[in-house]
Amino acid sequence: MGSDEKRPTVGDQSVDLVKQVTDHPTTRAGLLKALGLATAGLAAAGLVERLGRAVPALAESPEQVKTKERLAMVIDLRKCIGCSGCSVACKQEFEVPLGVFRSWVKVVEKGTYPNVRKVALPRLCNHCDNPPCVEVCPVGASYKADNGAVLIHYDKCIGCKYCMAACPFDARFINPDTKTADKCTFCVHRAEKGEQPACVTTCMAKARTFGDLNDPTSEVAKLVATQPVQVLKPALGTEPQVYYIGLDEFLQSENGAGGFGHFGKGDWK
Amino acid sequence: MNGQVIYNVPHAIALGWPIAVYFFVTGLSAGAFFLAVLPQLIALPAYKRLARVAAILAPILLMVAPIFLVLDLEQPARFYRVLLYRNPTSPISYGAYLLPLYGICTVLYAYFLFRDELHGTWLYKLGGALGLNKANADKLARIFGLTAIPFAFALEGYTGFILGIVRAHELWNTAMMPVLFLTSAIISGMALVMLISILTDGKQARGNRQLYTNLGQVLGGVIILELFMVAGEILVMSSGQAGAREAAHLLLSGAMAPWFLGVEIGLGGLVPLAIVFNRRIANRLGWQALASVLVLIGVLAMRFVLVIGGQMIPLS
Repeated sequence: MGSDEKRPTVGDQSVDLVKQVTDHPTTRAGLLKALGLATAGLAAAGLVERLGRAVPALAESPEQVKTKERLAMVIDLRKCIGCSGCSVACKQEFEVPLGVFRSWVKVVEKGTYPNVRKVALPRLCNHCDNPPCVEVCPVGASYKADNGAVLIHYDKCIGCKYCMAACPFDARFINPDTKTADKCTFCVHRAEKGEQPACVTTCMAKARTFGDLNDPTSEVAKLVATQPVQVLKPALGTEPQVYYIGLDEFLQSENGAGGFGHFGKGDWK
Repeated sequence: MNGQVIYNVPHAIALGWPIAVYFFVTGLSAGAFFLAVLPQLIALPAYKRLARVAAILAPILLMVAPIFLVLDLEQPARFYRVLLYRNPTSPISYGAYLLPLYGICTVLYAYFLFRDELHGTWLYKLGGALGLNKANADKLARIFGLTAIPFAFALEGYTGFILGIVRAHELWNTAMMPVLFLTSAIISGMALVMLISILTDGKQARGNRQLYTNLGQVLGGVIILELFMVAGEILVMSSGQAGAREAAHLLLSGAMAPWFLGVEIGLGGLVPLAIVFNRRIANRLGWQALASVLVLIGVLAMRFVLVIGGQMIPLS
């Protein structure tokens, strides 16, 4: 959706990235840059960008490549200490109301004494490439943005909660203040300014890496290409864009050790 | 492996009781409508009286149903947007058009069925103002009745698809969902029409006993079909993947077991079967009415078990 490129799956990530590097317009764009095309004035660049949308031949300009970014996050669970700093930073960034979370950390104790280990799983919207929430939204309020983020037109949302029911990751909730569906936005308002998401900047263990998966030089692309990464519930085929390093099978299982389950509204409000 | 969750955030159940009730009421409407239109398809003069009751119930129930849907919205004032914006992959988007189309057909069917008895009433005058009183009522009743049949199927299909396409919840994500919605709609619709008909029959009721006995047995037949499908569904689920097995466990021995086994299957299925197929009591109107009430309770329980139970299995 939004892009004609098939997203690489986890298994053949490195192969696909190599292919992307060789096939990708950036290499040719880089060549053009070397030829001095990019030294044209700002006005010319703006014109190229505008023309680029209409004329395929010009679509290979660096500006156009930038609009094809695919935001993704890698969370290295070997580094995560489960401090919930990400949850707090997210709450501050968006003034997320009490009782609901855009970002949270599930903590599980696995094993039997004396062989026990506490494992943490930071959670957020997976910004799936094949998002079930967007699929079921009756009014098109939920959408997959060009940069890969799954976002909500808050003024369009009727609050039917179908997206909440359809999300296999419990990423969505009803914002008690705005009375619409809400969730993690990948901090696109910060990404547009070239900043990192709030949860990433605050992570003291530096467990989180965020960036453009289509840019082979980005940290996130390097990690996905070179590390064994996993996603949550890969069998559902939603193609999450939040990748984990060191995701324990115990955490993968839907309700790792029973879970907390779902609560009726009255139970927690 | 052993272990336990130390911390997690709570997640609210997205679709609550209003959605279960909405599915129940649309099912009643579609189920009743199948009975209402039956005399148009096959010459069954004996069922005419039932068909008339059903023809009135179907549009009324359909008008009640969306109230639950709209009240469940977090932004009820924005409900009209389902008609302005469309999403070809969302069942609700289709339902937004299906509901009014089916509704208009059932209203017109009922109007033409009763038009010639309505002379002098405000309804007749309204019909006249709308230009509905010139053509042949029987012919138009037949046209709108038959047109509404595919809509009635689609109505049940779409409500089933609402749950069926959600792969997040194993209890929902099966091809049986629209089929189960259709059969349970027929069952509940028949039961309601029988009940209302018995209650409003007055002095004629005793004379119509054989009719209700026969209809009770037809109802019993559809209940057997439904029980067969539910059993198949649960058996396949209990040998499915982890999530499906968990869903089967929830219904058979988990928190939903009393509602599923006790109310839906037992009270709403097996007990009515024992009544309608028992020769000694099947010809008693009181017992038939009781069977109808139990069937209605059972189908309502089924909607709750599916809607709420489907979301009880933790996702994260």
